[in-house]
Amino acid sequence: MIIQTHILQKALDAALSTGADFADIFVEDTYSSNLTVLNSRPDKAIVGQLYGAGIRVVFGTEVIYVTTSDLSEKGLVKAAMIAANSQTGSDSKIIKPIHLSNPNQFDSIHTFGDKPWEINRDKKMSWLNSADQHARSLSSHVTQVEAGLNEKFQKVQIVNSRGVSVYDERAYSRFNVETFVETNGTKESSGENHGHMGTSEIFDRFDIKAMAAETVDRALLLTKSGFAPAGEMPVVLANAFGGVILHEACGHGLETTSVQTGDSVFADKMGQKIGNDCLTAIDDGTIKNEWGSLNFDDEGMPTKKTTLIENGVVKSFLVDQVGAMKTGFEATGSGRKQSYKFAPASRMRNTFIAPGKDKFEDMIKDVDYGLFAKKMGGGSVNTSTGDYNFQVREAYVIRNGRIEEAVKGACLIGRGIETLAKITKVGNELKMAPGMCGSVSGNIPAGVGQPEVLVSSLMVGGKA
Amino acid sequence: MDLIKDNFLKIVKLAKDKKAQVELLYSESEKLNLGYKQKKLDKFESIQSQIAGLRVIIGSSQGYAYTENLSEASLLNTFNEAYNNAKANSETADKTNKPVNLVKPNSLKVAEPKFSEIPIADKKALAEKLESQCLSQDKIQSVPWAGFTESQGAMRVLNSAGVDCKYKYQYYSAYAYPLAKDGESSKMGGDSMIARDFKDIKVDAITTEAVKRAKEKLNAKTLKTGNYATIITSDEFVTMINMFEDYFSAKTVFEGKSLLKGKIGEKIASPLFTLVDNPLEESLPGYRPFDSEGATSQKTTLIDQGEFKSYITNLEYSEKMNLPHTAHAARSPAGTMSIGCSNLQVPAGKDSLEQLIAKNKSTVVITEFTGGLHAGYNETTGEFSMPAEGLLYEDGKLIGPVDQFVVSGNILETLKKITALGNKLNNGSSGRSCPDVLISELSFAGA
Repeated sequence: MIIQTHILQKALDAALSTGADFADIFVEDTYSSNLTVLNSRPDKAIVGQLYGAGIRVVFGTEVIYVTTSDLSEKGLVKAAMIAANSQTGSDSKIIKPIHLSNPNQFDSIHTFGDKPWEINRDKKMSWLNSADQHARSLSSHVTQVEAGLNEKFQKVQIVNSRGVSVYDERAYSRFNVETFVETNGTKESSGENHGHMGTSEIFDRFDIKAMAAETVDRALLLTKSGFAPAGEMPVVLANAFGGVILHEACGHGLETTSVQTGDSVFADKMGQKIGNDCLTAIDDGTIKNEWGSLNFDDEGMPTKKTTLIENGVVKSFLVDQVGAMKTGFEATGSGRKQSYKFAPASRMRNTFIAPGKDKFEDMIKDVDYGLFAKKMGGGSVNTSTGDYNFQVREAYVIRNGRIEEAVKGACLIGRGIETLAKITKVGNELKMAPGMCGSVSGNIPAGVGQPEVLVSSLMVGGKA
Repeated sequence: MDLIKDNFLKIVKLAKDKKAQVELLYSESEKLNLGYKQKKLDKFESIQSQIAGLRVIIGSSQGYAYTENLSEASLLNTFNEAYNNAKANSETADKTNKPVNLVKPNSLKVAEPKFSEIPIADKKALAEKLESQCLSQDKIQSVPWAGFTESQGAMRVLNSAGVDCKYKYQYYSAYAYPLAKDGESSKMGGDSMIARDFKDIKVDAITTEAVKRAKEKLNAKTLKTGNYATIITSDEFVTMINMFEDYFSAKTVFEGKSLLKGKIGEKIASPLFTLVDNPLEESLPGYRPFDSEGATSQKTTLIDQGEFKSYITNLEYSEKMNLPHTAHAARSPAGTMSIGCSNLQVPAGKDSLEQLIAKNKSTVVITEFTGGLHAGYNETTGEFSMPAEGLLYEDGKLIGPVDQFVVSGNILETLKKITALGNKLNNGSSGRSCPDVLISELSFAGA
């Protein structure tokens, strides 16, 4: 527990004192650490503490959000009164929250090892040095290696006017390596990362050298690659981070943040068939220790597994508390945010295309001329138009049913619903990958995933 | 009572006992975000923040720690964390590295601005208009993004050499991104503005421009693949500046990541192109009278008529690379020390947009890089292939909007291909002030 319950009760009473329909308080105390190695020496070394609370008050459909980093009773009540007094003219009956009890004990679905500050720093530096040394040992063309370890341990306490009282702890660890190479005057770089919801002791068992080797291999490959072809063509997307296509083409458009105002292209698609039978899409916050998992969302609701699309038919949106009030759909435990400095919004957790029956080899054989996108980069979407784009970091031309030369500089663009309808084959080997998702409520850990997928036609932007 | 200073002096004593230098970067801010959706108040966020970030230096090694809990106990603990980080780094440091020395006190005087108090009703009215004025226009279906922000705060640097400097800021910003619809075609356009004075936020100008930008994209056709003369509008040229601005950092050069390494004095851009970093320009949001180490800011010419003139440095990299100190230390209290630009300015040219368009038989005017730098830019090589939207002109006449294409090239080669600059600057709301830019040719992949 970060704050005593009776203090939060007073702040909640203050928040409701001018006639709000709903109020909640999110308190956070977060430790974070970032260590990096650069030029084969320790570089960044920073630890820090986020410490504050966000108080949300809802009048009808109007949402007020006030933050403070003064977690004393006086500071919290003052912030609550700013929120309560920001709205005038409400004639709602003043409600009192039910008596708040201390946070319930529960069995976490996740297991954590030693906390970040309990793990020996030398051990962490040995992981980073191992990545640096191994990458440099593999090729004389390596000019720079940057390796980093990010750890976060977030304590949250959430109460609301419906009686919710939750305390939870969340740990995140992420290891990244980026390697720079130069051959005959041509420079390239490539990065890899691995993250999970949990503490960093897993990197004792994780194959850091293999990760470093992958960055060297890909960077060297890029120095020898020509530019990707341009135009519409079939595209086979690899598994794991290939799932970013679902995240961008569909996931954001299913969040009630954009659905509730009718702005999303998916707003009127509930129950409609928008994809082939092979397409089932799921957003799941309950996978043990997965990057985007939670016990409770940032509104204090137990997280869930939500089927978004089943056999091509839209089955559910991602719904937060305000989204539920505005749309009438049941909340799905999807209220998330970066920190107390952001009001929660409906966001994805671990979003993936469910495994199908097709084999990867058969997908490739089906393509006369197209692209195999093996490693994807970041992307973005405009949920109001459905236009999305994302980068391909490693790709190969498919010719006459065979994977041939490597190409670089490819970018995939399209419109969400049109692309989903063109997913014609779904493979059987589902893999997940960690990503950071940026949106209205900040940057949050979001898992993406899929088996291999064949999109019958996509616009590939390479060089003309 | 100055609790920050009182506690910092206790930290300085601890640091001196341990033969370390220490620096505190303290930031406090208050932000009010207002937004309306469907004529109802949809966003009312009051975000208050205060954070202290400590840097401890032992020889050439640095350690950092930060906290939002400003109690004495918490600050002293934060110092210990930063000291431990510096100490651990110093044990494996390259002994040939020069020690880093903190900024010495100077005579910098920063004027204290007067903050204006605007009634909340006026701010709400402005935010409401950002949506309603867009909605009143033909073909505007909704306004997914519109809002007003009031920001005020202070930045302060104290160090164990005796520096204690502080500046305050207050600015207002507003934006509107309406969605236009015509049959099956939906397109979004937008505009934003930032001002030191509330009365300088021109809602009419923002909404008129935003609606125009959304509507002119409607019913876009695919673009035929090929090479075209290209005009990048002033607001979108900001994205291109973002591509290469980090190349000027001496830290990036030292780490082997800059494409400008060893190129001082070389022609790296068209003779028409000049680029200046001006932290002292108060009307732009990157204003800072001193940098994150407390060194007095100065105007720096980076590119003068195509010639590469200067890297930007902080104390550490100025020493390390024997370069002039340009006072470009950049860090947030929760970050580590880096080097960064403030307000980048490209002086305007002579031509109107119409004159720029008339210079070539076919021209694509890029109105939006739809993925920003998120998709399709490789900083290591300077190569880009980015999705975009635009307007196609032939013989000076508008053929129509085009979309679903990718424009590609190399950023440094593109700077050399600049053949004319527009005569109007964008409003600088991103801290990047520039005109429309005509590029002789870029590669487009479309239909």
